[in-house]
Amino acid sequence: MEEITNTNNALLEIEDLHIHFVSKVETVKAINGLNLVVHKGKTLGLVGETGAGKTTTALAILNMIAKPQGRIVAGRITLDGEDIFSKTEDQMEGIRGNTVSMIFQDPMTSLNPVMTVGDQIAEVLQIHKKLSKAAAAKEAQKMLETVGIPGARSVEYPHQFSGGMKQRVLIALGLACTPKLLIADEPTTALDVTIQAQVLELMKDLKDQMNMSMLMITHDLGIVAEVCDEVAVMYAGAIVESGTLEDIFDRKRHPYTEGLFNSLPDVNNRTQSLKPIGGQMPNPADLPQGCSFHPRCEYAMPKCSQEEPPMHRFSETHCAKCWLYENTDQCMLASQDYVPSQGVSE
Amino acid sequence: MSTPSVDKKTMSRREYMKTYRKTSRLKEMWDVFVANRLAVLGLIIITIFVLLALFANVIADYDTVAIASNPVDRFQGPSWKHLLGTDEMGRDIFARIIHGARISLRIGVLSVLVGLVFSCIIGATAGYLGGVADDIIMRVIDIMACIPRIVMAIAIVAAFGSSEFNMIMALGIATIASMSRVVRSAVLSVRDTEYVEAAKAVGQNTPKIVFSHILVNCVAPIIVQSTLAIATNVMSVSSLSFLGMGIAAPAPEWGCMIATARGNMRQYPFLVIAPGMAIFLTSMAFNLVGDGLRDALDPKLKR
Amino acid sequence: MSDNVILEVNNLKKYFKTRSGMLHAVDDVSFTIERGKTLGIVGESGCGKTTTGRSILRLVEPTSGTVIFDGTDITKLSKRELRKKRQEMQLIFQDPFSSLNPKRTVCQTIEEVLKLTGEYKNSDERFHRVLEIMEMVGLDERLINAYPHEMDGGRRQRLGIGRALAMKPKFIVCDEPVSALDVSIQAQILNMLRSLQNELGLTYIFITHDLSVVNYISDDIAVMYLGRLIEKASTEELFRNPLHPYTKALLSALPVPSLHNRQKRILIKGEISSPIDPKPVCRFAARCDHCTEACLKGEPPLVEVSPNHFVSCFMVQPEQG
Repeated sequence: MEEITNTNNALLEIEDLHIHFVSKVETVKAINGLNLVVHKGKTLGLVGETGAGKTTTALAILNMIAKPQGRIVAGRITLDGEDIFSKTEDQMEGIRGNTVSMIFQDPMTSLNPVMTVGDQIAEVLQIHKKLSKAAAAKEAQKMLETVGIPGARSVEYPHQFSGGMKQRVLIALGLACTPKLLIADEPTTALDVTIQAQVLELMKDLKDQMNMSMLMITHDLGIVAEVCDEVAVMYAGAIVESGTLEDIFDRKRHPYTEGLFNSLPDVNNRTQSLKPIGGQMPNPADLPQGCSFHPRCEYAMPKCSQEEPPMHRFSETHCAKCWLYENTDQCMLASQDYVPSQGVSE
Repeated sequence: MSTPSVDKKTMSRREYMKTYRKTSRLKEMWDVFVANRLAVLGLIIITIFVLLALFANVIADYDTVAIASNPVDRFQGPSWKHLLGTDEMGRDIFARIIHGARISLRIGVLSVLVGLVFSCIIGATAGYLGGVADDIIMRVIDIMACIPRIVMAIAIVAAFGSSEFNMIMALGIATIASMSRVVRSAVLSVRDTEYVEAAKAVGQNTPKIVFSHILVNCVAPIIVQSTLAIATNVMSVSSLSFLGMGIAAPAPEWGCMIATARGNMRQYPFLVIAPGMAIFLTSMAFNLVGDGLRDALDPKLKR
Repeated sequence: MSDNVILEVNNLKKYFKTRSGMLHAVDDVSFTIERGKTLGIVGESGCGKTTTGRSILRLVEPTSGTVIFDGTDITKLSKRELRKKRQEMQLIFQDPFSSLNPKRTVCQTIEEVLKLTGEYKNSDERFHRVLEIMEMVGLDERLINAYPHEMDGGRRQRLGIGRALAMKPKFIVCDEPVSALDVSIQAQILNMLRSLQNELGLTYIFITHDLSVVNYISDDIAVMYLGRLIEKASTEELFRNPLHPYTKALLSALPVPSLHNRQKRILIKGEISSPIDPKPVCRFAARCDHCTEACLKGEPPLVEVSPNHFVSCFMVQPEQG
């Protein structure tokens, strides 16, 4: 694929992934030609609204798509040089938790309520690192301390922890085997802002300490600005724009990305009224022809409803999937690029 | 939903309702139900029994064929004249089975309806009021649940005599314990939803809230439980009659038929097998339909 | 009190009895709202903001305190009088999925409310009012017979708002009306709430945990922590000059979707403490960096440090002169 520029630096590569969920009634096209690269030591923010296919992408990386209905129609996922879809279930068990691990959205339901948190972390260590029971228990305590929980609390049960603390336990669980890639699926959505700030800070620190890569799935652009190095904006099962933080925040090119930003209230300018994207997310069982965003797009042209746009590359890092850039590299959106000298508000 | 262009100001309510039809929930449920083959089998069996019961008098006259003894034809095997043969008094077994179906289905269904009415009142009161009222009501129900239903039915029939009406009441009351628990838990799960709170916020009165917001959303588990209860009660009718506490001979009740045929069971097993199969088929059919309905009515299992 | 004040809440308390003691959900909260304005109530989960909203409508009975709405003390009304008064005070719910009866179509949901007002006796008139309301909240008329499960979250929330508006209320408590929605839909709903307020002269209490949303929609903001009101000011003032240490931390914890003008974060330690039988000290003391002995001796009163800026903190002194 032409998207991948620096292959040897990539930890995770997803190429032209298509996933459908087939039932008697309909075929839900969850992922439609997704390309994604997570570089070593970097954090990629995967941004999109409900139903964009973010969680399906994460499950695909773990090769955990629910089998009879979920079908991987095409595509390849390469994680740390290994082709995920060619692995057997046994081999996958060795990879999950070891090379890649995942933190789920809801800390309340992701822990086993009848096991102490220490035992749950120790269990992972026993399986993957083949540690003895005592060594694993000791290591588990150490892990808890890394995430800011006193080691003595390892004998407590999940219900004795608050929401923020449970999310810390889950992070400890995810990091127990020092994975190369951590997938965090909306890890702070269920938490309060002050707790969210603590958890995000912690995740950033740990990522640097352990020198791992992170795939941060979120709908919150504020969190992306906080923790990510690169951003991929997802719509209807495909990436519509991707680039570095500066590319997306200061030099956005895709109308959907612009719409997302315009939907957010600006804390520094409260009189400015919001410009939401009209309409709703398309039904993934019945996607529009051509560009899947065109029915909601202000800039839509006749061509958009006929042909799917190609990925247009603006720079080595930045690309967007839109017909507006068929013949030009210039920004075609109403919103302007960020220019440092104008941006001073206070 | 198609969207024909229409002039809105001139349209009346009826025309609107015609233009934008509701999607039929019944049809959605029917689709799920039909997908379950066993449930459809159950429904077919029930339909056959109901039809046979409805037209029992057309197929075979009650007094002359099902009741009157005919010593010449005793203990005949199955033939075209007697589909399932004849019994020790020369009565046609098939005729007796279909007339028996009338009794079993009638008592089974009516007793569940009786139980249902009481259970809805008891369960809804306990669930909606909660607190002390709930505690008192449910403890009484707990005590009722401790008495085996057949024993309770026997006690009631023994006290009031064994008429069909008393059987219906006895089995109906025996159903209350399990059924009112189902109603209560369904009400509890709906009572605290926000749409009930929303109805309170707009100032809706309590009976309206209970009926049009709470009970409507409890219908699914109640229907499922009722179907399963019919199966149980059909069996209980036969059990009671078998024990001589229910419908008495010469009425062609299935349990009663088995009881009278016991003496000749070795030589003529068919006398027991035929009514036995009838009991088995009806109660199984209701169970299958109940399971099918559970899937069809549960919105969570959709898709 | 001036004519302009539509709602006055005085010393509102709501305690719940639990096994381990009294849970102080709302503890001595007082504030006023002017007609046509929006008061945002901000706080984290468990701070009592939802209970405050419900107590004002008496959907939960307040333990003590008065709620004076348009000159009438709501807490003293009989059930019948309250039912009448509720027509003027409505509620919009957080979860558009659980707040609609799944067995009722759009038309049935709105019409039920219209029937209660008793205003439209004629069935056709009532029906056209249903259509009007649907248009007002941006629901296409082809949805007239749609069930909630056939609509997406945004449309359901529009229906929830339509149900509240059908009563022609003067005052609406919005309990996290957009937090279950995607950002693009959230913006649609926020814009709609704003324009409805202008058109119909509504007064809102807007309960949320999202500071950027409350900043956009509110005129005044009240910050709650563990059942207490700790700071209240106009939106500009609160964002420009937050005084309570908790408010400061809350504002700085907000992730800003921009790479510029970033401020340094103030991270507060620990988590919210238990609201069950709290000690009579400053409730934020355990997490506060500026905690002094005074903070551990008594509860700080809510004082007006500058016009229309109230703070409950020993460390903040009223402006001189």
